[in-house]
Amino acid sequence: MNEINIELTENIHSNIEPRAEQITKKQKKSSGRLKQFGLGMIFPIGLIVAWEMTVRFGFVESYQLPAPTVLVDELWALTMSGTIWSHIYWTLYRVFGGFLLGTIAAILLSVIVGFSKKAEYLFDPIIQAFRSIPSLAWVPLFILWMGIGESSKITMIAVGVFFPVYLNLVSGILNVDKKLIEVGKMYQLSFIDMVRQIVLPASLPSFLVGIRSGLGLGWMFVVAAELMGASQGLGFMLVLGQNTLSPETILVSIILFAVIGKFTDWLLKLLEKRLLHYQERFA
Amino acid sequence: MSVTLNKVSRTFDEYTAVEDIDLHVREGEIVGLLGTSGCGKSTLLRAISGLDKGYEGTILLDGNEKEGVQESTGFIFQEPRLLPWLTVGENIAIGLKGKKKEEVKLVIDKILKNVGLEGKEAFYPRQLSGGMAQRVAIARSLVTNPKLLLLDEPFSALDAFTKMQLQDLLLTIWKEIKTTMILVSHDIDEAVYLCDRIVVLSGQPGHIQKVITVKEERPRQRSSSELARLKGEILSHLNLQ
Repeated sequence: MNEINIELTENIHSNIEPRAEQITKKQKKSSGRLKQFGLGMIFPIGLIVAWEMTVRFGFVESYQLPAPTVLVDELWALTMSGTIWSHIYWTLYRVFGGFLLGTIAAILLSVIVGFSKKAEYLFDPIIQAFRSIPSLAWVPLFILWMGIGESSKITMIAVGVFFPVYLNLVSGILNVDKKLIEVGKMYQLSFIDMVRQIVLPASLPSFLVGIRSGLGLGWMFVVAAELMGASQGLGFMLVLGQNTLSPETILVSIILFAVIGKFTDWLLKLLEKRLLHYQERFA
Repeated sequence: MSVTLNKVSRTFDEYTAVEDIDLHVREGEIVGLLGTSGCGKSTLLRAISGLDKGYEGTILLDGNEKEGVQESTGFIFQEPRLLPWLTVGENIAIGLKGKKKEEVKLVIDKILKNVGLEGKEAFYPRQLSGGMAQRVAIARSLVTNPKLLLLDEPFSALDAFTKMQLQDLLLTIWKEIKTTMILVSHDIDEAVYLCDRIVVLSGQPGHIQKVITVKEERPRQRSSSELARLKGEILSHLNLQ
């Protein structure tokens, strides 16, 4: 009986010890992360406080640079009146629409160019030429062709999204490790199976880099699109703020662009992490 | 499956890698292609596999001339070449198209056990050591029950001890399924330990210098004097001794 008791206590003891270690490890990790977050917040908060002080003490005119507290009031007012939501909605709608359209077009063209040398010689030079045209240069053309409605805006954004996605995906497809293709050949995979099982998964990392880049450009292009002939949207708010001599409106719009844009990028980053969980990271 | 090569040559643009190769590999034999760098041993193997169709001469499998990759041929490359986005189990199953899930699972379990990786079907390639990854590659090639197994320096990237373990694994598998094996190697110890016959290639373009028969019965001792003698013979054929 005594022997059994000793064994049991030993087992419990050896089981508790590691668990206690585990808990302190987790605490250390989360306090480390908190410290990292805290350090990262010092500068922004310091900046905001300095900003507030600068305006309060009259170093800068409030009609040129409103204080952060004024911005918060403005944002609050817009939220309460509900107008902010329709602006955010329209901008998001255009970015999303353009993003989808641009990405699909890029996928189609990438696959054609990636798999056919002839297509590469046919299409790639002209695509590269178009790529160097700056975003704003497209605006008058699209307005001429499609008016100032939603279609011209979404098309413009799609053009912006298209190029990074196309470039990255073509590169991804052309650079699929030939060694893996040979494995597919040894198992006599059909062309479709080869694409589905080897080429597409192998080019996925490049594709994800492309769409993150494309999304960033989409946000850039939506500003250009909304600066011309919009009546709703965060970009329109910029124009509104300028025309009504209200810098708070301009700054709120800029801040919302930053926050929402960052949020959508963060979503893509999460997607990338999940899809590429199998990868070995050196960092 | 028997393999017969008649006057096989392979030229790339202006450069002839290998010339005038005549060889017959009997069913169930383990034949080694041995030689220094550049003598065309991998080129020959790729021609036999069907991955390379640009050779001159004829290659007969079981007496028939076949073009391209055959289902009955398995290939183990120098690197494991696992698909990084698939688990061990999914990588192995790549050769099992159109089979039912339960059947696939049974095959994978059995093969993992045979290569010493029982229970690891959910691992990802990045979690495997070099030796483990090469075992998965071996498992993957066996899943189609190949009648001809081609190995291109399969263990050259591994440390000496893992190499020896995997060589023994190969012999165990061969004892069980009695498949024909053609193995390219630049390791003489490996060749004399594993092979029934060794084809020594040399020169550029590569020619068959000599075909050596290893009469010693298996299981062989790596440290046996007969194998050491053969090693000396091979080294002198390669002008290295």
